[in-house]
Amino acid sequence: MEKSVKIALAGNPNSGKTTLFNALTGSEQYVGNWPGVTVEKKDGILVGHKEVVIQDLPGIYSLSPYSLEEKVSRRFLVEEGPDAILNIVDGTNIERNLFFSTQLAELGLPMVMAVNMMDVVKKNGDKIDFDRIAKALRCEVVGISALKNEGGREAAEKAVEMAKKTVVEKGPGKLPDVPHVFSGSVEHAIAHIEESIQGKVPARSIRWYAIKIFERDRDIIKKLGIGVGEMKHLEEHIRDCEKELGDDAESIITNQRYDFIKRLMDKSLALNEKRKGKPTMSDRIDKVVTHRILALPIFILSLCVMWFLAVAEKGPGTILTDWANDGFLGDGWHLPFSTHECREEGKYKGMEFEDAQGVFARNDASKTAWEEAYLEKLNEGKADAEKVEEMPEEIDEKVAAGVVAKGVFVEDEETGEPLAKECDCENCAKKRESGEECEGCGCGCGEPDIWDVDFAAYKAAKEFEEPDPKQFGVWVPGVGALITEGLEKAGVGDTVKSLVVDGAWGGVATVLGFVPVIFIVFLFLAFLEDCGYMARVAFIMDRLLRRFGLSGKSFIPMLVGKGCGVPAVMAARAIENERARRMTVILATFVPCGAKTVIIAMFAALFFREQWYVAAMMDVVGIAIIILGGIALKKTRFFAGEASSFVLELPAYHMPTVSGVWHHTWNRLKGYILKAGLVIFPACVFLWFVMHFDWSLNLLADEEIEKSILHDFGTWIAWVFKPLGFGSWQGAAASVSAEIAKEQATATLKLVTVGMEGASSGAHIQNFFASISEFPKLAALSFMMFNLFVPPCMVAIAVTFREMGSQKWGWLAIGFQLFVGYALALCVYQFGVLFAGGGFGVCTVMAALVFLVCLWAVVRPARKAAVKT
Amino acid sequence: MTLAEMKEGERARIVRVGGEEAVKRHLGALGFVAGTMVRVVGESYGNQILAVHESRIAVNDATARDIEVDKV
Amino acid sequence: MNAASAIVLAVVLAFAAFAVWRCLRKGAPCSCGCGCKSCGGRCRCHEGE
Repeated sequence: MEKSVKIALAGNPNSGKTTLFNALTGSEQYVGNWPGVTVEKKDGILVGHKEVVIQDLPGIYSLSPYSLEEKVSRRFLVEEGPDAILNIVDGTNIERNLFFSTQLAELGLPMVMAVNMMDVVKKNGDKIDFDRIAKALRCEVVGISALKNEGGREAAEKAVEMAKKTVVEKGPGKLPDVPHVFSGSVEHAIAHIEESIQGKVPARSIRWYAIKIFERDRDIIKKLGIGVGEMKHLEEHIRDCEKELGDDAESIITNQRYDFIKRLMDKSLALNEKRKGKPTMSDRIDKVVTHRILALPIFILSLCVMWFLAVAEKGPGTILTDWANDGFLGDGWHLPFSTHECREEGKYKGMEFEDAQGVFARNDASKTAWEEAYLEKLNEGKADAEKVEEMPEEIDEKVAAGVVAKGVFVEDEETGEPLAKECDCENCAKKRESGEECEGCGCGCGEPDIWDVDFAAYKAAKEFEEPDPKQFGVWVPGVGALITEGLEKAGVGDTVKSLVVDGAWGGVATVLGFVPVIFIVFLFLAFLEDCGYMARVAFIMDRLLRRFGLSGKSFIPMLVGKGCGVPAVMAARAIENERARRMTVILATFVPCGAKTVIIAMFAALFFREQWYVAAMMDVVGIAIIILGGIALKKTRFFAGEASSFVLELPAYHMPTVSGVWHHTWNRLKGYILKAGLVIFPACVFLWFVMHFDWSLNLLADEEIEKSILHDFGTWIAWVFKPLGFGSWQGAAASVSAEIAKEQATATLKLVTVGMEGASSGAHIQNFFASISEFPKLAALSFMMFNLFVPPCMVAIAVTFREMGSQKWGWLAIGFQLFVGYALALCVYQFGVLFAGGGFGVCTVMAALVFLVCLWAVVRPARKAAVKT
Repeated sequence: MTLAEMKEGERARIVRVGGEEAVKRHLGALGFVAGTMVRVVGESYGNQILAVHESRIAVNDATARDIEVDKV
Repeated sequence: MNAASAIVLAVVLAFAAFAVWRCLRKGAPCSCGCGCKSCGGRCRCHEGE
């Protein structure tokens, strides 16, 4: 059994470390481009070498003991001790990267330096002398290109080789070869320190420890148990150096490292003369992208592009979502390119499926309308008990002869209005093709198509059966249809069928149906992140936020939040200033996360098909809340204080790899799909039960839903939502259920409106909103905004409390978020109603008051900062 | 003068990095040490994008005000 | 309730129970994109829950 070999993979952020790690271990770790999105150390097995473990360390700039990532790395490197280090260095930024490398080299472990991005170095025409660097740092140096998968494997294997060799050769007291980076007096002091800690530390790392003590690293001093007396003695040496060089110990070390590196680079780095002083491609892009005036509009524009692709009427997102909802998960769909005219004998021979459906719709409308009229006539004068509800087998010809159904039309699925007439004459056909309105040819085209049906017409209409999609192409039944069919064939009873089809499946399908939309959003974000643009966004937002006393560092977590609020809240840890961190935790979840995007997707599809910008608006509103909310919070006594520093590396732009973007996207998407099965499913099962049973646990019929537990619960709290426009038990239930998972709101809506009219996907939800408010679109908007901007799902709330560290702050955060969401929905609905002519009322006054309070909170003069933080 | 006073396109050599310990350290690791050359690549609303060695570092004016430089 | 209904009901409830158990045990499915496979199945982003 071969002993396992541990290789530590260490390097700066943005050095390509994670790409290399993925290539070496075949894993799919997500690549982050900015601080605060580090993941704790990961490990993987080197492909092809079962005994070799590659330990990926967080991207860090230095081994100081100050940030969590650095501490974790130090602990691993110094205490656990890998068998070798694979140091990845960005070849296009080699000087800065070497700062970390010198520290790693001092650990005395076998080390291979992999100089990455050699493809770019070559393209730039720069030259790097690997041998010189290897000699100076006492390690192996090779060139690689992780992106192009060149050299990475070999570099890792070389590290393994070195690790194995050293294991064999290692003997007690044999000091490894470590670079001597510092000047005379500093080396002198270090030598003294090394003497005094002999035996306390592993021989190979004695130099590293000594340097740390020189820097007065408290962690190390404590760990080594260096007594006060001993330290005083060492202090003398340190202070001598400080006096001589006129700087503090840490700065001396830092400066001298860079001096060393500079001398080394003068001999080993030859930058292409032609490039000198010229702006790089990244610089040129940044000139535009961070331009004083253009920057913000460009960012908003990119968001708009994203939302356009995701939810615009004819965009890919909507096409895929409609297919998913109606076809794949619903009734079924034709394989693309397989559709053809009906070849079977019958009413629809020679027609395309869509036309056949249209013909059927007309005849079905005629049939239904006439039957209604017939029944009405039959029931004239009869007592209620005697009335006939359904069409009898035999039709009374005498009565039938006199029955004419008037004003029959086919409803347009979206508007509910009668479909428009389309005449076949050449003129109209031509005009329709070119997209023009058809008028003036006297055919009535464009007018609502309404007609009357008499008995003869009824008899003819009755003959049209629903067109069988299988006759028009390769038909793939939808999952929903399959489930329903399956259950029916198995003879499952209606109740259980309802549980499965309307409850569990209905809810899950609703969420899954919108996966295409969040897929597009995630894809777009992954692309922006991987190419390096997001770092610029953080920079741009800092400029904007700073004018209001906030920091761009706080914005980074919010960008993370577009995927999920949990890491967004946690990313606030990167902010040192306690107040700023707290504020970031409160504000981080106002940017719609993936789950909230499902809500946006649904409402965009149902109510704002033509106004895709409403979806984009939600992001803008989120950002606005962050800014305005931040301003308001800053003015309270809890948060007043100075704005902090902002330092952020902007990595060079690079074309993201397909696999990188794909993995990035898929990792997030996978979560939502799993969530649908593991969270939404049981939630919907629970909701179904609570909708179909009353308090005594009697099973209720569909119409008796008003007696159900859910109905009572919903009604109990519905009054809270009345001023917001969706004060019904359904709206209440949906909003509350959203705390389990934000997307549950969509599933719950689907479940509770199943009794409403409208068989097609979603029409019942539209009808629902129409039934609770005179202004359904406004109520829908209000509902959407409420759920988007109140506290996030329970998981994220739990993280909020944890990151805040105290109950008081946790509740403050939740309280603030609740207020914001409620106030927003309230004002949107009430003012919307007011402007739409809905009249003035108590709630309008309430909204106005709330609005004024918010305005005051934002606009009032700031408190003078009492103490400088 | 301080870094904050530099304009786009100008170069300077760092003389001293001041400010809070934590920020100083972070800047140090990024290459902001006495003797290093910096060039202002972009500047707006007080925030700057600086070229330090071959990297690009964005800083706000509060941070830049703590860095003493000699214009070149 | 006939046999088919009972079976389907049992399956649905069993799966729902399993889902709840798994969420309590391992945390809700990670949708934060941190590549949970490499975290050993449990997303580190939810650490401590």
